[in-house]
Amino acid sequence: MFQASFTSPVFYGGTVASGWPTPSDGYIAEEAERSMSNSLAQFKLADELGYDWVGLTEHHFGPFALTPNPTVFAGAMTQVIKRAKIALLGSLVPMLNPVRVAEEVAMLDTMSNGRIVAGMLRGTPNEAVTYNTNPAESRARFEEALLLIREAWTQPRPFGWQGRFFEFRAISIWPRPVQQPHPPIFMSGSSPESAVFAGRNRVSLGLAVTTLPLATEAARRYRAAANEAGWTPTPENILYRLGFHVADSDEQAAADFEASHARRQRGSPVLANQALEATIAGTGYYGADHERQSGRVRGHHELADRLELGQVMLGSAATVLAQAERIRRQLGAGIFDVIPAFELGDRTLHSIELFASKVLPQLRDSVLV
Amino acid sequence: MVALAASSTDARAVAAISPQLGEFALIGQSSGAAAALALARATGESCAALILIAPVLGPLPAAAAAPDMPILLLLGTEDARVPPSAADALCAALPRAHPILIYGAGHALDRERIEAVAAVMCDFIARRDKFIVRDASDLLYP
Repeated sequence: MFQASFTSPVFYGGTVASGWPTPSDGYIAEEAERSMSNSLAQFKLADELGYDWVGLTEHHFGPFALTPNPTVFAGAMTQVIKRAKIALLGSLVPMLNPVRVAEEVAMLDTMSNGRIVAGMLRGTPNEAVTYNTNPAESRARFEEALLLIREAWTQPRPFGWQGRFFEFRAISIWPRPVQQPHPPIFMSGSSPESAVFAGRNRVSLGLAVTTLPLATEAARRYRAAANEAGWTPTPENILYRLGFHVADSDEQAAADFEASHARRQRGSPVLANQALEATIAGTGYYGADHERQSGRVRGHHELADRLELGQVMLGSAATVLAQAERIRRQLGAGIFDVIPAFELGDRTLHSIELFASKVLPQLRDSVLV
Repeated sequence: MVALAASSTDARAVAAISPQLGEFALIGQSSGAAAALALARATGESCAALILIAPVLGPLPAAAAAPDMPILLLLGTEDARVPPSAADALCAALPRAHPILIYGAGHALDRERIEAVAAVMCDFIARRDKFIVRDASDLLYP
């Protein structure tokens, strides 16, 4: 059983313009700097408290996360995070140069002495606009890029790649990854297509921005595809991401959480431009299970629903432990990628501490059945 | 330049006509690769380039006995018989070989991804070692 702490330098400052791509009205350089420092402090604390991973994300053109290139931030993290693994969750490989991603991750793996987890994602639908890639081709580009990156890490001699979307005549990356044969790869597997691809290709599965029932179904599909391909995933191959906030009492946690939401003006990058999301959904971006996958990212808003659907853990340590145990039993996930309520300053730090001291040890000791 | 496909049955015929061809490229696929290799060695300099497609070779020849010419090695990423992981040993045995992985193709990679295979082969035959340098323009609007 591993635990991951995920955070992100969200832009906290003042009122900013809405929409996506977000204009820079209201942008304050000092606030961006403070946001990045806060994130780094949260990561360092998580490392010191014994979280197994710290994870960060890639988002573009908005205040949701100031890490358009998470490998740059991860480079700084390799110098201050002494023990925990550093998880890129993840690089948006369909819109990047896959050889460059392979090189950057191998660099980070060397700088961290083999502590990198290589998440690879397609990005939120709107983000296809970022580098002018066709969202209708996002999935096919993703699959090719992932397999090319793995080949770049493992082929010992120079080789070329004649793909559908990518063409390279000679690849031979330096430095090489420390972890052999390569750093662990996680991909998002909420849609049927993704879960089956991950299972067939021995890639670990990440389930985020989803609900416990949908994630459970995706994990079942993943295990079936893996079994067909001749291997059996362990709980450590399945990551589940959800929000959390722990306080000294259930009442305090609820009050904190409400305050956190009141301060959060940003919403999600997907919903910041709903017309754009609809346009991209119309290209077939979500795949065969369109309705549910599109609905999944729209989310639920009532706290009681979010608790029931396993999207958030909230309360005292004892309450959160019970919530975590329920989710783990149902899903069989070995990795919880937990997102703190970022905006609460000292209370965020207290929550990260309580989770580490009073929830993680019990979760580690309990056996997943 | 003429490109000739070699197989074990036509190797002798190719050898017989090769002196009239001047410079030529040889192509050997799957179990035809052994014949193409033998022929490339036998014809020496007139064989200007060798292309091995998913080559199924028995014991690999010693590197010292490898033909001394540019060799393009094409392997399908979905080929269970000659997988991409075979590239290392093949290149050790054929020091001038350069592997290109044909994404999404199995053992019959020339049929499964005909455009991709044709494009890289044509480029290699035309430019040989120099084919790793891109010469197609990336200019969007002249």
